[in-house]
Amino acid sequence: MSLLAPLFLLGALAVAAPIVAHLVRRATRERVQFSATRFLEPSPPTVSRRRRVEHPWLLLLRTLVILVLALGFARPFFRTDHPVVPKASPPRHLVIVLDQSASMQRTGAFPEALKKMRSIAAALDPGDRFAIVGTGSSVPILAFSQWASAPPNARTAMLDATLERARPGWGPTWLDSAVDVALEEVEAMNEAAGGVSPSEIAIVSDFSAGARISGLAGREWPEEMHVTLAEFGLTDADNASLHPLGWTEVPSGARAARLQVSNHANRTRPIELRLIDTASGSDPMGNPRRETLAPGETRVVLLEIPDKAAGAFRVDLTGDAEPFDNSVWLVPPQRTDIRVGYLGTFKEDDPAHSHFYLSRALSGSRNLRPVLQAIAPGASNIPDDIALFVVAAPLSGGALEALHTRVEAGACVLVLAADDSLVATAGRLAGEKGWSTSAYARPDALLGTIDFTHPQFEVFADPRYSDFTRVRFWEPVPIALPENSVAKVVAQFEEGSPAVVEAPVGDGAVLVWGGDWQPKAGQWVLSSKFVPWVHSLLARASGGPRGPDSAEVGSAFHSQTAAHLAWEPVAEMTTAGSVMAPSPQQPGIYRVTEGAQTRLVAIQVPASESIPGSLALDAWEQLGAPLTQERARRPSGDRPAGIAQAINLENEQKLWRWLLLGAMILLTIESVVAIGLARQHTRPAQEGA
Amino acid sequence: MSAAPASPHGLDPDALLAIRDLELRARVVVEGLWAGLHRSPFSGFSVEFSEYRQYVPGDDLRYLDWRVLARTDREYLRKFEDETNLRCELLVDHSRSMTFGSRRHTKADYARTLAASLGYFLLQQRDMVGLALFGDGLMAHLAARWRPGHLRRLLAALDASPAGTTTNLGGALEDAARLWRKRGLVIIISDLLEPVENWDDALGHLVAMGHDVRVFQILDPAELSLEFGRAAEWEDLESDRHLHVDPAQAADGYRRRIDAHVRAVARALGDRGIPLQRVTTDRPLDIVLLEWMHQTSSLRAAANRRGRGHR
Repeated sequence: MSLLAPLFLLGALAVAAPIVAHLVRRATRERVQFSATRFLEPSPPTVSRRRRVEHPWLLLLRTLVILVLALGFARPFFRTDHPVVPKASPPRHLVIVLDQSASMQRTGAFPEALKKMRSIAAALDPGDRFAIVGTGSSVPILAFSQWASAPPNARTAMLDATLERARPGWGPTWLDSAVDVALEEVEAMNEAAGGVSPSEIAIVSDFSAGARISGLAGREWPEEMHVTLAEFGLTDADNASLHPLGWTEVPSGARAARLQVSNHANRTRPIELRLIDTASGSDPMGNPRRETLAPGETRVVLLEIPDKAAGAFRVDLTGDAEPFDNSVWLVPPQRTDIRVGYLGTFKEDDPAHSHFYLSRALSGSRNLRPVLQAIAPGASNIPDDIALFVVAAPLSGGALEALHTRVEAGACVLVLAADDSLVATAGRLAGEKGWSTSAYARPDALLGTIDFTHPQFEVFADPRYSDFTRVRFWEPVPIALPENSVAKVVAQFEEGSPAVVEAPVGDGAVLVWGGDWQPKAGQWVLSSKFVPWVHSLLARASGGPRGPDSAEVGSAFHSQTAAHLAWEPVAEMTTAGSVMAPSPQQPGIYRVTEGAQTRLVAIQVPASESIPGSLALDAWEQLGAPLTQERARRPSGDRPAGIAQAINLENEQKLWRWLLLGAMILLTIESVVAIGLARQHTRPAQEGA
Repeated sequence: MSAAPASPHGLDPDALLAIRDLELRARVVVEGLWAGLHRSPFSGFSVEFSEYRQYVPGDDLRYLDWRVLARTDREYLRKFEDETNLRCELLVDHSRSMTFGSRRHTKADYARTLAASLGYFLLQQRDMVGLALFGDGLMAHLAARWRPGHLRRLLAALDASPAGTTTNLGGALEDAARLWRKRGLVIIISDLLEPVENWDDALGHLVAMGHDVRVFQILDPAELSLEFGRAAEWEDLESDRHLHVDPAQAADGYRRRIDAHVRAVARALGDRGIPLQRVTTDRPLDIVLLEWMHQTSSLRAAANRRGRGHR
């Protein structure tokens, strides 16, 4: 017989207690009442009986109870030559979500993550299904099917090869997306198996404070699903971070980059910022900028760019221990000139005319530099470089023909149709006849139905911005289109008559606004929707909206357009001295070709990756994730084979149950014997009394 | 006068005392006794010449003893027993020491039944019976009466549990002497474990008052042999005394001392001419009663002989 927990045998030492109790003669507690003690002399206590054991059978029973209990707790079992195979538990599905975000570029983070993954994978049984999902990708790093198809003895090598290939990326920590991918994998596996198996998602991450899990809100978790947060201990990084905030001009008139510099360490830190022209190599331009940051301080630093410098730049921060977020990439603002022609009464700074508002709305454009140019309504020579025309006066003759030609060539025309003649002008520009106005019965009008899929109104498609009920028109001009018109109604007044129509003409388009833009005609030019609407028009005229010059890895522009654009790396982040493969997935300067335009775009490390601290466990619980503590893996994981075999044998035999039953029987007999003896004691005493 | 016992072994005390009702117990004892007697017990009492008394004017001349007058020229009246009903006072020990019993019954049970049987027997003979219970003094007293219902009161008083703590027979006898002015039969039922000197004088005083004193000393068999109990802490029933006693070791010394005490009691009573009947609680009660009657008859016969001798 062998013992699984032999230390419990020490409990058998407790037999000393009943033995001593039985050996020591009980102090005489019995009392005998007698009438004639006057004639009695005290008897000396007998010594000889002291050495005798009182009630030896009772002592034997009590000793046996203790011995049997001690043996039971020691979990005895008989060794057999036949190995015991543990009962087959249902196969479980384990998906490891591997954090490959930029924060995993921290020193030692990713090797720790891989180590953690290996320890989790070591507890897998041959029947278990296993997959690995990385953040930032919707394709699993290792799929269930790959794991299942490999023979069990080749799986370790396959896992090693997979982990060898795994690298941390530069994207944000979007754990929710990765968990979604993992859940889809598990659900697909359950569907294929035709039942729900126990499954577990183990998230191996540094759980940086900037990690996103909000996408898990409202997620329905499958039954038998557990989420384990496998965090590995990393000391708080001695980190300082650098992020771009845009461009500005210093009082001297020179360009300056706005940089956000943060010190995440708990000590005052001197840092240096070096400006490097990516075209000229890695030599800094000028002297480094020195700053001293208090613990936790974040400040804005303006870094002046020399006038002579052109192209793209990089700013490097030095002075901290974590280099992954120490570089920002700067592309100077690249604004394109666009000329806007205004055909109508043109008086400078006269708020009674629509061009007053148009000129001010145009000036705020981020990527375009519009130039408003007045063109006499009767002029027949219209410059070729004008991309957008605003017509506020009736045209006729040569001017109309010239403009029609420009529209057919691709120009965009907006007609402010304040009366019948302007509507007719718009109709002629569209190449149609029969355009007129209809009467509007009420003194004020509101826009009723609006086509928010149209490029002009698309910017207001979000329900938060689609409220046009506050914009009133006091001089509405409903447009009456002929039946065979190709013009499309973009917006209607509340009574159903067209308010904004657009007619395609050749490569261009004629957009007609039913009414004037003067403040006396309505609240449109003073509303908050006017400027975005004009900018949309400007973007259309310039060939379509353009993306930003700087974006973070994983940002909306980066993730939505990266696949459709041609990216050519100009300069990118280097890791450990090697240039990574050209990919928009890493920070750097890229030359992006959008249609006919080519421009430089800077891709940055996500700012959220630099946020210190770690994600609170409460956040997961609030989202309803079925969290488990990081569970002890199955016993076979770290234990020697002999012990595992012993545990299995003991589990199989369960001798402790019989020992417990024996102890209960012995206790019952002991109780009966003790009661009998007690009665024997009390009977003479009662008779004596 | 002689009487044979009803049966050679008598009534088993354990069986008798298992009867709850004290009156029934007494009746069983007395009726069984009568049934076994060859002659009426009445013959031993009453209508017997009792004593002479000096004539005083006004006395009934029918009882004048003319023969004495003729011989001595003195006027004496003859008194007979049937005229002078027996006045019997039962003095029963109700102290805590009487609660001891090594058998199924205690000494108090036994003494109570004995007293009840005596009372029943005497009342049946139209004698007056009184009762006094004593512990550390006289505790309850019923004056001697013969009337219907008196037996019940007597039995009720006897049935009370022993309320006394210590035994003070001397004090009880002194109190009783003050109560019992008329001469009569005084039957003391006690274990008499108290030292003799505590009650000897008081008993002498009672005898001197002319009372016919009889004593039943009720003892448990174990009190004589100490064949009882085991090595333990022994507590005295009447005092705080407690001591470790192993009966096997202490028996010899105990027996010596209790024998000496019993002998001292017998000697003290004998010196005063008081008949002692020592009874152990395993003795059948009817036998005890019969022995008492024999004793009484023989004493009376001796007295009569002495009286005739005087004449």
